[in-house]
Amino acid sequence: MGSVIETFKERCTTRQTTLVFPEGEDERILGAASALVEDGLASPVILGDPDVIRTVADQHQVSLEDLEVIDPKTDEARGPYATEYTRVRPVSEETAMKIVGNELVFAALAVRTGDADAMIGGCVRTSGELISAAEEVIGLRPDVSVPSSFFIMELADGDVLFFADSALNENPTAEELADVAVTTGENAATLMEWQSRVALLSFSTKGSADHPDVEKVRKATELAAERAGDCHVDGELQADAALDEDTAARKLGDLGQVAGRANTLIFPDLDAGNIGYKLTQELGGASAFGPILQGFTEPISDLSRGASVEDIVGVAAITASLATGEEHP
Amino acid sequence: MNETDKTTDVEERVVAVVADIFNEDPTDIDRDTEFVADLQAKSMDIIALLAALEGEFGFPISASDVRQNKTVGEAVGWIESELEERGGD
Repeated sequence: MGSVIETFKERCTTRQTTLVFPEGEDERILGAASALVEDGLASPVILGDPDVIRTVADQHQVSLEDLEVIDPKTDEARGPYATEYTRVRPVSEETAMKIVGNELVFAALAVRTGDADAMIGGCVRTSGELISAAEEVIGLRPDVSVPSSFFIMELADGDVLFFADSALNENPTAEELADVAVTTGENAATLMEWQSRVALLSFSTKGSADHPDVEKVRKATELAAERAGDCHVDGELQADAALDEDTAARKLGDLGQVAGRANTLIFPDLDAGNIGYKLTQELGGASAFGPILQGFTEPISDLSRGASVEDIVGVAAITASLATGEEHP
Repeated sequence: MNETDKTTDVEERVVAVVADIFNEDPTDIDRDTEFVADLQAKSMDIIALLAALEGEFGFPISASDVRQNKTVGEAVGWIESELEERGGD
């Protein structure tokens, strides 16, 4: 596990968060939760059938000490959560009571009501199910139109870059791309405690090419720059102009605050984003942490189906750091 | 309860859940009602529906389980076969 994750873990020990894990009957979740407690990183709440959880914990020699286990089908919170759910979707109390028995919905309601600071799941249920439950119950930020994701790339030399959106949005519009740029810049600043320099990438640098795809990135840059706050935003930039000062100087007259020293790269579509982060891993020897979801009013993190205990602990450290970071609109 | 009663029972329960989720009159929903074409079901609706059906019938249901059944009738048939396989309800 990279040193950037160790930085987040250290931060977690000073600012405790309550993380709800809806898939508590999975041995990896139990292993990760136990590790979070043992290392003082977070207070996990595990959802599931307590008998099943006890059996799985025994089989895998995981300690349940100091782990809060809640059965969404019987817990006393179901009543208040069902009432809260009817504010989201106007169903009968009877139907709401059935719905909140689902572990993803219960977990999302725990976050919505403030009983938990963040939700982490997706190693058993699909990403789509997790995102849909979160989008309905927790909701997106009012200034964001789509959920998106970012990867934290720790390069071989120890430098860190943020890549987005390499996992979720196939072909974002200019408006959606601006959302991705703004939220990624903000989250990068929260996690790294740096000033984000956000480059919206393209196959063109400041008018070197003319194409509707380039125009999309240009428009997204304008929109993002209007909302950027403390983040610097620029585009459209080719990747070399974004990352290398000499190249940027050759291609541009005025480098501005981003060209040549971008720390947050926004890809124009999922093809570019997904290929980009995987090439950086495979050919550049970088470690990739994520994808970390963003755009919701509270932190929600998605695990890959193949996540290991170590991966889950890493995602938990990132999520907890986001939960204790600055508030956004 | 005979087989016909059981089928009717499952259908009535599914229709009641679907009507509540989609804010429709149960009398406007029948076996031919399509989740997407008629009820304009979106991803969030699918989650609410699977959660409500899980609570109603007592077994785990995934979004893909719901999506593979295009109509209320197909959903009823699928639930009946799941209940039979699980020996429930």
